[in-house]
Amino acid sequence: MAVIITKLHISPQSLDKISFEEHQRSRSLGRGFLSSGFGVHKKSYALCVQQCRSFKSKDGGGVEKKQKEKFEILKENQSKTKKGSGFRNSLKRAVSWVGTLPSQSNEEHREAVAKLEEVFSSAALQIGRYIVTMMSTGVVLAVGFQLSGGDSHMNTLIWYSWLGGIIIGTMIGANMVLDEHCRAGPRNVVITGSTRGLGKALAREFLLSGDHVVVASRSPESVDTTIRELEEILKEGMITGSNRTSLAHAKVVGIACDVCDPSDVQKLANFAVNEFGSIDIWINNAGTNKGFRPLLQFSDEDIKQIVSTNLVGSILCTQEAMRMMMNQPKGGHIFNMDGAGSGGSSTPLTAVYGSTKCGLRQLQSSLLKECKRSKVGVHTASPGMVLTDLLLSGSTTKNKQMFNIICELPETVARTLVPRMRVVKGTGKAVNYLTPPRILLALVTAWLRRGRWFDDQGRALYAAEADRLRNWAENRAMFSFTDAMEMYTENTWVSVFSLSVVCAFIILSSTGNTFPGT
Amino acid sequence: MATPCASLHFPSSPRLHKPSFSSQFTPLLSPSHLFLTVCSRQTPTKSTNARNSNYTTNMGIAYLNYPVVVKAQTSSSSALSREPMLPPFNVLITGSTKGIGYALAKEFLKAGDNVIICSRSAERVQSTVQSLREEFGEQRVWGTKCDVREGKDVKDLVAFAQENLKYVDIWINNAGSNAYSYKPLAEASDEDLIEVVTTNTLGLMICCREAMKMMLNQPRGGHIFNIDGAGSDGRPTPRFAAYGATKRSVVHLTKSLQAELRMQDVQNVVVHNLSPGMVTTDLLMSGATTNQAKFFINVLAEPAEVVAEYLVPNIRSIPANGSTKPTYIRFLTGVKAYSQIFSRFAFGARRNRYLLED
Repeated sequence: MAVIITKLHISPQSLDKISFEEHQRSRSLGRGFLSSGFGVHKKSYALCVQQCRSFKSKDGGGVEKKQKEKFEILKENQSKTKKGSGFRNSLKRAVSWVGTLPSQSNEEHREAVAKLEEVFSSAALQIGRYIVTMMSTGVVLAVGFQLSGGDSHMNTLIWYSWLGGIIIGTMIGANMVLDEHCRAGPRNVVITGSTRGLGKALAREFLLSGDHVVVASRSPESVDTTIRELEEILKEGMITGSNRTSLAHAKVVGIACDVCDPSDVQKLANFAVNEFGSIDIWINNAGTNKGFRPLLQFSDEDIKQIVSTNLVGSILCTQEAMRMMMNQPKGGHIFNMDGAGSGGSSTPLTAVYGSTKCGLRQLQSSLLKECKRSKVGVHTASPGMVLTDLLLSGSTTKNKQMFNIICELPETVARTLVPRMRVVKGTGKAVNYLTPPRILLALVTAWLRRGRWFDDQGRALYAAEADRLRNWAENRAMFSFTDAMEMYTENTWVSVFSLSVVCAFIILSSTGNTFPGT
Repeated sequence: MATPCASLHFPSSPRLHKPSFSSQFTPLLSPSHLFLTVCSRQTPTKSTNARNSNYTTNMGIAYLNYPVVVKAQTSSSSALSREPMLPPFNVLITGSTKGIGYALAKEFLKAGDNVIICSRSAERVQSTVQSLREEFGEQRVWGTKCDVREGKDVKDLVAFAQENLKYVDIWINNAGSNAYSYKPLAEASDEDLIEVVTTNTLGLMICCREAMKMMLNQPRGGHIFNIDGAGSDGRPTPRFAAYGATKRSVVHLTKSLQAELRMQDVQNVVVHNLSPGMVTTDLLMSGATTNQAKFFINVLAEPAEVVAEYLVPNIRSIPANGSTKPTYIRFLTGVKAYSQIFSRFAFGARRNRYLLED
């Protein structure tokens, strides 16, 4: 809701600025007018600060005063042209509450008011921040210009670039606000095979982002222990973490589920819907490998388990998730995990695993066509190489030397994958950990990475999971440049670039001809 | 569940970006190959020994570049003097009571080979063996019931083959299923999906394993052919997503097995891919419900007999030449498919050939 309001406010404000610019240019200002313009700036600046204060001071005020203020704000907002339906609904609700005040219990009313207030104050904060930033840049520019006492051509040039800056800033800001908004609400996530390795790390990461997580695995005992562990982590996070409000919604539940049993899968889906109302993200993470050896040495049972877990399990889970999500108004997103062989290159010694993963890639491309018009998104997630049992069972010392370079701990991978899984839009996206920049980094620093996880004898050098988690909270806070780069959507970069080109063009075409000295 | 095994052979071709030769060469370019060469270099003593002891008896040239690492399962076969493969061949075809499998069996019999057929239903095997024996004689064709998804059944099949023919030269993994349903995945039934995946992927893997096990111990070695299908070239297969996924995994399995065999320096067992293109079997025809499907079936599909007539001589030429290179035999190549589509658009050829188009 905050987003809608912000946007609404932004447009009239920037329009004002534009018209202001027009005035300035057309009248070919003298000093006097400029200073009066400066005054206008100041006024609105002060006004906005006042607004902000009024919002903040409301907490202490009585109910009546709040209502009054709210009504004023409501009217003010209603006078703006367009509104999102969600916003309007909340307004209507608020109005009706006010109207039926005597019949309602005081508690309920106060709660509703508090909620609305929260929304408004956050919106006002955003607007205030925006206006302050914009004004201050304008003020700085104007002051600078006055001091330099430049000519009129320079004047227009500067104001144009200022305007361009504001537009670009608005777009980036709006994108960030939208992103924040997208990331907010708790999502309902189902992760299969999530009592060990990467699945568990994903579950933990989702949980710490404030989501509802359903843990599923074959054995009920391990599901129980996993839930207990995750709840423990959640509690610690509530005490020490920075974003307590979002963690308040986080919740983890679990059920035993064998993914190759259709009735189990159905049970899992129903369980998730009963617990949380809907499923937003379903991750088919369950997979097994059974070691590295030639096909001849695999037993019937091994082959059967690999095929049924990797291929049958993923197909059945995808099917069930699609059925569920098609009936949800918001749709949903399904992720299938890639693995060795997905790309189509041969995988000797893991022939069975590789061919199931290759089959999953085909499934993905077929589903993409089938689901083109539905609200269900089918995606792939590629964790790259992760130090889990699946990879390490039966790997040789020589392999482990290679793992040093390219492998990562499950927590690291989950930390990168989860934020992007949460905000995924559309369908057919690939969320990869091993992106080209990362591979490049790994290759460049290969020398430094010797002995990162395993020493020469192939002994593990990294801490056990429990120890890792202890140090984990601090690591989370650390800033990663690649993550930050990838967090911004491509669109932002493109729009910034194209806008700056447009601005440059306008500036050149309007001022270039008369520019002194050119 | 009683549906027979047959294979759905959709275009491996129109709008095909990869010409057929590329797939033959990709194994050579894969990283595993590089890895392999390193491996064999690390065991120089073994390999030279093996070379000295083995190659005097053998066909020579083809082997000169490859040092043999003596492995547990290959040692017995390399200890035996290797025999060149001469016709008549002993052929085993899974899922061969109807469709393309049956046509292949018949074609092999015509060429003078001995054939073992099998399928899930004992009655159908009986009747098929009966009719084939009437046509080609008593001692040419045998049949047994075999569900490829059961490891025990496949082991019994191998025992049955060894009992009747002593060895098998050509093993064709043809058994495949689509549960005869063409539906979006969300509407498909669980049983169908499980049947498709277990027959096409699990069954094939078990068959490949047993066939390799058997052939490694045969003096004549052997050739395994895996039949691909729609989706094996990586193009999406909406309405039969599960089938496409399994067939893509078949091609990938073949590739991985080729790499594995190369890793172990096995020369006498070769795994190939076999692409019959689109064949007018029940499996394909049950999906002819949309206009697009009808169009492609009319333009590209061929009856099983025609396909078998082309494939069998090609298959037989591989052991006859003593070739040990993995191949990908395609009936419907890209050029062929394009020219057929072109002639359809240009001259209206093949319109309403099998099915009435709107």
